[in-house]
Amino acid sequence: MNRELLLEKYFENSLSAEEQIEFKKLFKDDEDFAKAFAFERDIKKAFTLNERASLKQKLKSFDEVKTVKLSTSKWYYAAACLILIAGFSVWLSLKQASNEELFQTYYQTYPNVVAPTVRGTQLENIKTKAFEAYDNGEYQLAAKLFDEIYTKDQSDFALLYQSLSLMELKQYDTAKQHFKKFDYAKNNQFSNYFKWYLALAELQTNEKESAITHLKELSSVANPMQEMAKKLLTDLN
Amino acid sequence: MSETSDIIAQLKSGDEETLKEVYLANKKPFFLFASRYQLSEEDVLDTYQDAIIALYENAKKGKIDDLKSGINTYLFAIGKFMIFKRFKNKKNTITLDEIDISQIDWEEMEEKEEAQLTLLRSAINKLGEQCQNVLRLFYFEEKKLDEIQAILSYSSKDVLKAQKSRCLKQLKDLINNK
Repeated sequence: MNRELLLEKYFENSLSAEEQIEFKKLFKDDEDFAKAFAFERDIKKAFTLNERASLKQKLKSFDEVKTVKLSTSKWYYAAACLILIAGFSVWLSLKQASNEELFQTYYQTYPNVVAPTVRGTQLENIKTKAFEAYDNGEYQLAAKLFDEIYTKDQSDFALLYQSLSLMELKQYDTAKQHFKKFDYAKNNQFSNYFKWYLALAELQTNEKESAITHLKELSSVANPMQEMAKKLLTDLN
Repeated sequence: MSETSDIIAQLKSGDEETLKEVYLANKKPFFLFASRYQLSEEDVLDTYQDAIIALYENAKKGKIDDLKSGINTYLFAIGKFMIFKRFKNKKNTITLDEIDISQIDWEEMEEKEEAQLTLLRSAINKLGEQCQNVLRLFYFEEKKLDEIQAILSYSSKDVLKAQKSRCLKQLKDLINNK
């Protein structure tokens, strides 16, 4: 087989067993072939390193956006906020933290990690609309749309985001019922978040014991919410 | 899990918004996850960014089209893998959970670069756009020539092959004239 084709197939990952033998033999016996191969292998490396470097730069810029946005005048707000937060935490620590306060401290809107809204590139389907509503803070509409999706195909993401929308609407009891619909035996990418937010909803509705049970489960195995669960447990005791 | 494959498909198409969403959404959980290892914050961030790059690279190369787990599980597994590499841990007791080891395909590129590689890296940037595209698709994204022919709308595979040879020659000239 001609050498160029052999090299091409090597980089396409499509050498047959026979061709592999031929390749190895040429590599050993033919200096020009070995050189040509080394050159292309270096090109591959160089491209990869370039791509990685530029991607890393891009990722760094994602981090910077947040801080860059704080223009000078906003620094005053930031400083004022910091002082407020510091004061608030002192006040919090002086006082036995109530469930409500712990909830406020630990509750964070869960981001849309399922269908990032990309303008103009996605089909206008119900899933897109639901996430768009969620991203825009129109939780009433989001809850309704996620409910429709869930009724249709029982997908976990719909159930999670429907319950999260209810949390945002402060309908904790209903949210709790929905969180409980999830099949916890499943253990998929959503299970820990279901459990975490269920615990928070329980905390908010004075079911401390049950919340503690769920937090203990979360803190006993490695998962993204493990550390948060541990911290909240300490604060609860 | 269609949600995961949606994200992967979007990464594959080079969608920057998706990349940003994935990066920002998993950052905090990743830091929480990494907090059990004794690493400086800087190292954790570095590892996290490498894990995202690996995710992106493998998505582009079509190596994780049928990823069974969620994106976050994948990131944690690959992060764990990288942290252990960082530690050069001899005990090596990583369990990679639900991740198929073949999907964690990450070839560490040597830190110390040979002069040739440095030259090549800057020579690549001097190539024309078309050459950069052809070579990037072939060597970095590991696309087959047939696929590249379709992506870049070449009239025939032979025309594309001729173009690729010209690009390689240009690269060679660029580093030899240095």
